[in-house]
Amino acid sequence: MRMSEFVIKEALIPNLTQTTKEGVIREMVESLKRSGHIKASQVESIVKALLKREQLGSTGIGHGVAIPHTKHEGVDRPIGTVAVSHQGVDFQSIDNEAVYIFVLLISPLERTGEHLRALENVTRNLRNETFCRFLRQATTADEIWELILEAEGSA
Amino acid sequence: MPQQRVVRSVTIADRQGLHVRQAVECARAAARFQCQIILVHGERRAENCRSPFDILQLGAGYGAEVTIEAIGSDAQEAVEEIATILSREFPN
Repeated sequence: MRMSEFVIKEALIPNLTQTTKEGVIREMVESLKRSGHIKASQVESIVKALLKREQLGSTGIGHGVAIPHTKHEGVDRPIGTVAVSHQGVDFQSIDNEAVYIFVLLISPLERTGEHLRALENVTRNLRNETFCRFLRQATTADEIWELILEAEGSA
Repeated sequence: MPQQRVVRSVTIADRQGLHVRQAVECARAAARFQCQIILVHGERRAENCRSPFDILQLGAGYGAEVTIEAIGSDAQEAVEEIATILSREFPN
């Protein structure tokens, strides 16, 4: 599953305002709610599930990247968003470096294979240093979206 | 210490498949050893087991066979530790 198939364009965040782990996760889930892809009544439960997952071990996988993710009954297909922090966030990453790029993924409870393939595609794009460098420079949602499409086109 | 090459195959035991938590744990574990560690699943290879990015590219689901290959003086211990992580079920 390609990034452009689960990332919601209308929920992209080119300039995160929050600077803590919980704040960033909440801001991203709220953005998905505003785009109409998550019900308001599900927001708290999804935020909690994502934070619970982080407690088991940070999804900060190094190189300034984190991929908070969970499975949740509130979605009927994998959905997600991408957010960029220009100041960096302490996310307790594997390399102890600040995180600038966040890809959030929420999958339905029983779609393990699809969830895994989505994560695989995310990490394939994000291990490309050029992609990450341009992503960190992005200042609009359109720029982030174009970069995602370009990365997939060249994959 | 003599150089060793140790190879061992394990089956992914976690129902979620090999995903972020295992990848991060493997990468952390690999960083504690001197040897080179490679993971192989079918035609896919993670040449650098210290990188969660590389490990996640394996796309190894539940029940998949992953081969761990380590080369170096501490290869034996490294393979055992990585094998333990990959063949463990992680609580949700």
